[in-house]
Formats: sequence, structure tokens, C-alpha cells
Amino acid sequence: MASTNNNPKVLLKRTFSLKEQSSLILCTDTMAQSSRFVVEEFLDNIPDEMPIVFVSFETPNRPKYARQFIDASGKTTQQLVAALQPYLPQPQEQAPKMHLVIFDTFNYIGSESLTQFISTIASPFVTILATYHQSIPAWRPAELQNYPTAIQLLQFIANTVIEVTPKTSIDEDDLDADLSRFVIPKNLNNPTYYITLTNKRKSGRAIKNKFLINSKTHDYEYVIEKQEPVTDESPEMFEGLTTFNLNTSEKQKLAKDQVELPYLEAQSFNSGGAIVYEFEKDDDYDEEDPYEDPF
Amino acid sequence: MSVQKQELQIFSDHSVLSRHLFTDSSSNLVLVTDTVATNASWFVNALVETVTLGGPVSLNGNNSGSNSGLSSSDPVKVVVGSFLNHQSYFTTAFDRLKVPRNRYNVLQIAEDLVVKNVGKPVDVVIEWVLKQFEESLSNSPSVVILEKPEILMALFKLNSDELHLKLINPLLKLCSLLIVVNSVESFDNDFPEHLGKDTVEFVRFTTSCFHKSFLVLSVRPLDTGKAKDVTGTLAITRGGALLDIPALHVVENQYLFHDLKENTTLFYR
Repeated sequence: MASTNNNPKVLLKRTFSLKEQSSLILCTDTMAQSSRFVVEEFLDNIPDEMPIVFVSFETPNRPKYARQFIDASGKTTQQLVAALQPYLPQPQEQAPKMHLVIFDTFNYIGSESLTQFISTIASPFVTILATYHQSIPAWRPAELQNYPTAIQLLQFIANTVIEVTPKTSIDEDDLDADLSRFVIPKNLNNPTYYITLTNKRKSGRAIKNKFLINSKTHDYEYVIEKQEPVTDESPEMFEGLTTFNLNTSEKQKLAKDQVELPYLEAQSFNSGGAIVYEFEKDDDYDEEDPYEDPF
Repeated sequence: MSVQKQELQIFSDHSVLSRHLFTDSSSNLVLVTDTVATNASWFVNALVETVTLGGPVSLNGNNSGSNSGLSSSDPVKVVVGSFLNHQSYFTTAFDRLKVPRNRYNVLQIAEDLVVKNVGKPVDVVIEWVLKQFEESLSNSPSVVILEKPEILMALFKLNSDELHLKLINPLLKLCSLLIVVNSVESFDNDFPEHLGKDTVEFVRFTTSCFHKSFLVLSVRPLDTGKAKDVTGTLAITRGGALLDIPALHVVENQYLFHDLKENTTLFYR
């Protein structure tokens, strides 16, 4: 079991087919790449008979796959919970079916009522798949300045977080600068994009994997992040840089490695933390003064 | 030397507004953004011409060959509601373009908006606006053009989410295609880390519109400043929403445009 879970692609497949136990799957997206394609991947992988409830803040169009469609416009969180309840597994039901509740966005629910809202609808037989648009700014009133932001809360609560990023040749900083001015470069919001899947285990360990997803062909490719190779100091590095000799010989290197640095000595607690006081000849020591000598 | 003019094309079926958008009961949002220096009114006029006359005929000196995608037998109605410009602003422009008056309807919303509604709860004001649209829309396919709705936020102390949930979403339900024209002036600020509440709400409104739109059309000035023969750029890009029409997709492109008093010309970029 452990070995299959360690295979990133298997873990991704299990996540998309909702075989990994998760009550909240959070997709975070930006203007550069929408999470809509990721939601389609879930729908492509889950069993057909799974009941899907779609809660919409953004569109009046009922998706074809949705068994129930709830228009959240103009509803308070309490009204929304009331509208959702009849379509969720009831407590008296024996062996209820797994339900999927899709929220097109959580951005319209204030951070102060978000946790309560999610905990009201979450249950062992409900998986919530929700998107949070990270590029939508939120005004934080003075009384909530020290309260976590909605995205911080969601990333903390969610068992699975899928961060969607575009596959683009544009430098990340340039792209951010453009989007902050509402300049939208071409070829964003493509069916080919990257996701970073963070899967939180029951043990508390979180596994992070990056994939390249093609939503047209449904191909998933595990991406191994290139790490900057740590280069050891080699004599060639200094050649031709200066007229000075910056190289170190083998003998010098050995001597350098053998130097004991002062902080290493401080880390050995052989003396047990005792303060060693050595009386010196100029010290004025009075036996009768109780405050004179603290030792 | 003459410069090659380019025909406007937005969708993969070589159309400006495809007829596929009006074939089923779905409603879609399109975001058009402009700035103070480059007003998108010429583009809005071109879209109205496309729906009513069969093509953006006034573009490129009255000889545009763009394919509207809408045949004259498709009775698509246009309703324009603006929080910035008066009714006469549009009717004068449409008359000049020879758009038949029975093909469009311009609502009187901006006229004395504050004077008429002073002291009223904001819900009443929005209900009044929605009612005006409802009365002019029938069950047939329709395009609604909503210009500068963000002004409501400043006038009636609304926030972005309220404006979306109370006005934009109900309006989207009423029509086949909702074209929201927004200003992106609030995105240009020198200290983005110290934004005031109003600026955050304006940016939030437009960004939320972006995520709801399947198509974003940005009219901007040139990044390099001014030029004698170019006013700005028109960028056609996908938005955050998906268009649920398999046969159709947005063709991303960028045009240069030159806006003169009577005529706007598009060029290759």
C-alpha cells in the first residue's frame, strides 16, 4: 500500500477518482490559469453514478454532469446550507453513497464564516471540491487584520490542495507584473498546464508533487523539479579570473577541513552547564558579605 | 505605402460573434476593458453592428469583410444599459452607423441616477435597474451590453461581491450574452501594497468578471506611449471560464487600432 502511494502518478489518479479519503479538495488558481480544466479531470475520473451537487456563484448555466444545481447568488451562508442539506447524505441513512459537492468559487464567502460553513456541510460521505481564485484581492477590515485570510484558512483545512499554474514561456515575475496591470498575454488558460498536488497524510506528513496535465488527451506527466546542482570547488573555477593564485592544493584543503571551528566546541556540553569561577589574585573576596559572591 | 488592414475575427468559425452562442439556453459573459485614454465605445459600436447589421461594417472605413457569424434571420436583440453615458450618446452613434432603431434598445439608466434614487436602499436601486432590463428583453436570444457597472459601487456604497451577486448574476440569467464594459484604470497604481478599500473593490470587481468570462477583450493604449497613426491595442484573450460549446473556441489575437472621429481601422500587430 505504502509503495503504491509513493508513486506520484498513482496518487494523482487516486485523487482525481476520489479514492484518496479527502473531505476538502482545494484548487487554487489565478488569472493566468483557471482551475476549470482540473475540475473536468475529476469528472473524467470519478464513477458515473456518484451524485454531484454543483453550487454556483459565477454561472447560471447548469453543467451537464450536475445532478443538482444550486444558484448561490443572493443567498446567505445559512440559506446556502439549508439549500444544500436535502441533497447531502442524511444521518439516518445506512451506508450512504459518496457525494461530490463542487463549488465554482469560495471567494464570495467571507473568511470569518468560511470554516463554519465548510464544517457544516462536510461529512465522511461528502467530498467538497472547491476553487479559490488567488488573484482576486480582498479588503481586510481593521477588526479582521489579525485573523487569517480565507486562502490561509482553506489551505490549512484542506486535505488536498491543487495549485494550478500555467505552462508558459513568460518569466514568472514578468507575468505577475503584466497581470497586476490587467495586461493579459496570449496562450494563458490553456488545456495544458501544471498542477502542484499537496496531499496531507493522516500522520501529518504532506507530500508535494508537480505534474504537467493535458486536459485534451488526459495525459498526466510527473515533473521532477530541477535542483540546482551543488558544485564543489574545483581548480578550474578560478582559472583565468585573476593574476593571483586562488587555487588551493590538496594539502591546503585537508588542513582547511581539519580546522575546528569555535562553535563546534560550544555545542559539546561536557561541562554540564556549570559556571567555572577561578579566583584571581586581584579579586576582592569578603567571606562575610552574602551578596558579594554569588557562587 | 499602404498598411495592411485586418478584419476583426474573434471565434474559430471566423466570426465576430458566433451564432453558436445563441443556439441553446446557456448564458455567457464577455468582459471588455478600456482605459481613459482608449475608450472602448468604437468597439461596442462594432459589436452592436455585428448583431444588428450582420458585421462590424464601420470598421476599416466601411469596407470590413468580417464575418459576423449571425445571419440576418437570427433575430438577436441588443439592449444597452450604461451607468456612464446617457441614452442619446448611444442613439446618436447608432443612427450615424445606420443601425435600425427596432433592432436595439438603449435604457435610460445614467440619467439622474443619483437624484432619482437618493436615500433609497441599494437593493431598491438594483431592482429598478434589473426591471428596466427585464421589460426590454423578450424570450428570444439577446445581447446585453452593460457599461461601467462599477460606478454603482462608488455611488451607493456597494462592494464588489454584492454587485456581482445582486446585479451581474441576475442579469446574466436574463440574456444569452452579457458584455460587461469595465475600466481598468484602478489597476494602474504605484503602490499596490497600500491600496485603499475602494481601489481593492474596483480591482476585485474586474478580476471577478475575468474569472466569469470566457472571452476578454482589452482595449489599451500603447505601452510605448503615443503614436501618430496608432491609438492603441485590442487584445483578444480567453478568460477564466470555459465555453461549453465544443465546436467553438476563442482565437487569441492582438490588433493595433487607429481611432479617428468617424472611423476606426484595425491593423496587424
